[in-house]
Amino acid sequence: MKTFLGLLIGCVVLLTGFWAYQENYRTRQTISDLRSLQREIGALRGELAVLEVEWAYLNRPERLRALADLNFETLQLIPMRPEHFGVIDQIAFAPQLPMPEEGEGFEGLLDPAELLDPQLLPAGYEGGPLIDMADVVAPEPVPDAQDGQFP
Amino acid sequence: MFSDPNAPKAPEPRRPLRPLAAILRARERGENPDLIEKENLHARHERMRDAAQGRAESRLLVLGLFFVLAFGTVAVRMGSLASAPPAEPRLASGAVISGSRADITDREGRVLATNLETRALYAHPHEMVDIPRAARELARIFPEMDQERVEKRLLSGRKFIWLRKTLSPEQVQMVHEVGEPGLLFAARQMRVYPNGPLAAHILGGASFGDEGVRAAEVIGVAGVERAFDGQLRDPKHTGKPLALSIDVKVQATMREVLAGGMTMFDAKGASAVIMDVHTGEILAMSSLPDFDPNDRPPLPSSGDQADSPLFNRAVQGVYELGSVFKIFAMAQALEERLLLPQTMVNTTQPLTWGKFRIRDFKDYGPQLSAVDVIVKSSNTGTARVAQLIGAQRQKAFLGDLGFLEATPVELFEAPSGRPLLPKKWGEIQTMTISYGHGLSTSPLHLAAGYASLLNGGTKVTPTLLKQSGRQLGPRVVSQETSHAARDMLRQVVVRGTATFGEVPGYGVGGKTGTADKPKPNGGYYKKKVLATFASVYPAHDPKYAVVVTLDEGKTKILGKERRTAGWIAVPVAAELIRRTAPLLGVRPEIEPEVATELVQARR
Repeated sequence: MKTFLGLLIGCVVLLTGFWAYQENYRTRQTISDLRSLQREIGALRGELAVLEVEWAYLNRPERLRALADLNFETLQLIPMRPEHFGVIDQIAFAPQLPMPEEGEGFEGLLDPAELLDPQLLPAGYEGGPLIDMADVVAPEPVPDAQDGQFP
Repeated sequence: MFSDPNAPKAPEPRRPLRPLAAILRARERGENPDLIEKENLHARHERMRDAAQGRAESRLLVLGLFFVLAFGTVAVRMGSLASAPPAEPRLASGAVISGSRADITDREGRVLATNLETRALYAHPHEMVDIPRAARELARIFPEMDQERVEKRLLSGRKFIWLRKTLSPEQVQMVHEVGEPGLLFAARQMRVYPNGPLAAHILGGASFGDEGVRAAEVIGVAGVERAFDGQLRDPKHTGKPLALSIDVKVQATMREVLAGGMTMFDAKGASAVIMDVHTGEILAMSSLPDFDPNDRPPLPSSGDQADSPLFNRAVQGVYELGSVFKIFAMAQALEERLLLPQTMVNTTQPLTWGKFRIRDFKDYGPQLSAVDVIVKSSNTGTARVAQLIGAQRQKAFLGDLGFLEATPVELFEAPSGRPLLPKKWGEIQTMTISYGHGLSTSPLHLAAGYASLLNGGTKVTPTLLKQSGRQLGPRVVSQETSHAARDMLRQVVVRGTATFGEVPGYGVGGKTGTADKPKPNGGYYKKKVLATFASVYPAHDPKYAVVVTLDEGKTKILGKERRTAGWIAVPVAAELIRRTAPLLGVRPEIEPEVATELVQARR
């Protein structure tokens, strides 16, 4: 009985010692992971700071104005003026589109010629769908990589 | 043996091993006396053993208790650690990540000043392999370095030499490529102002303080950077940017408009301030010419400081601002019930006081109503009103508006913008000060004065920090006086000297001021003037005060050279309002039918 108890206690001590040892090493590992993570955070923060500076630098009013002037033909941006304030009455209602009847689809109602700006339509367009599904060709499938080599 | 344990323990008398009586008795009986000795010896050993056992038991008990306590402590500690929520240990590297100078942002959080990691270059000449080659390479990489001078410094025998304060990543790479082991880099944080000269005078600038290999102190040298240096450097505030009241959009527009006006009117300098009349926040403040705080020029060693780009005309520059002051005299007269807006004021020319003669720009006839004195900007009329007020009360009133001391704005330079008061504030000084001569103040003083007078009559202190609500300053004038003053200023724009200041929808009200510039050694220049326009808009419910000043501006219109503020400062201010009011979110609106005493009285 005594030897059994002694053996048991010995085993328990051995096991707890093993567990404590492992715990110790795991903690050290975590701390070293943490240190490298924090170093990474520091580096990323540095990068973020650089990006923020760059963002602020690229968005400085002087440059934005120069860009707006450069792209005036497409954007037509001008400095804000008091006349740009509108009142709600100046906004037109959206054009009323006819609603489909019960059981009828939208197909017959949507004529691109009515909805689109005529200038955007191809020359010689005379109504009907703009894309003929028969003309649409499915893209060729990309050949699979074989034996790690692309054909 | 079983005596009272509490009794003081007297040392037991040592019992003899061979008591003579017992031995004699044993001898008589023919017994062996040695047996007695043995028996006694045995008894003595028994006693000794008992005592040792007792002592050992108590010691064991104490030792056992000690172990129980020690392991108990360990167990409790482990239990508490196991049950506590896991926390990240504080490592020393955490301090390296932060600990830099706090950012400065505008009121919307756009960055005005921030930090950038950079490297400084230093040399250990004793570790260098080929000094002449290194000097040649350095001179090639950095054009400002002189090869011979660098070589001489490196060969001077010192063990540590700073070569350059900041390097771009490309330059660092190029220095690496030189391959010289004695050229080393030090970590640095550099202050950058991404907007360049946009708010140069407000931000000021920064430079390096104590320099080390690991880090260098960044210290503010002027402006907000210096005024808040302690707070910006405080590790407690890292990550919490300092939010200014400036709006970058408005500031950029102001700088553009002001620069345009300065070129158009051929002015030597210009400044402008836009201020919220209720909160005292400065939304934009410019002084031209300006500089780039990223590359702050050195202080001028000769010549007039006021001509340096570093000089902030809006805060440091104190000038006699001219007729813009008339409204203060008139408001005070209204407040003290000395007159009503429609009261007629004597404007006969000239007004003679001792050897002084006061004249108007042109003769407006023998009398004008108080409103028209402001509208036509009559010096004689205002001077006569000031005579009614008197020196003492005028000084007290201007003091209430903050004109007698430097503005408390949060700039390092602010205390240097101290107003120049007359040595003696007598009657003639009262008269000249009433139309803006004899008292020199900064444009910012003027903006704060207009804001205080016209916001309903409570004092506002100008501030550069973002505020959360309106200031509740002491009352300077009554609501009615404030209303009457607004209406007078509106009339100046509608039919007076500032008709160019009309911006449809914003109901601008303001006063022009054209002041002859004083010569450094007494007297005034004939053809050098400072043109000022101080205004608020919308006049029926003021939101913003705008002050524009152009130094020595002139233009030729209709074949005549014009220098007065109505031709110079007013158009610039009008354009400024037209451009910035939409940015500030002020909708143009039709002026409400004016229903104040002024108009009612006129009807």
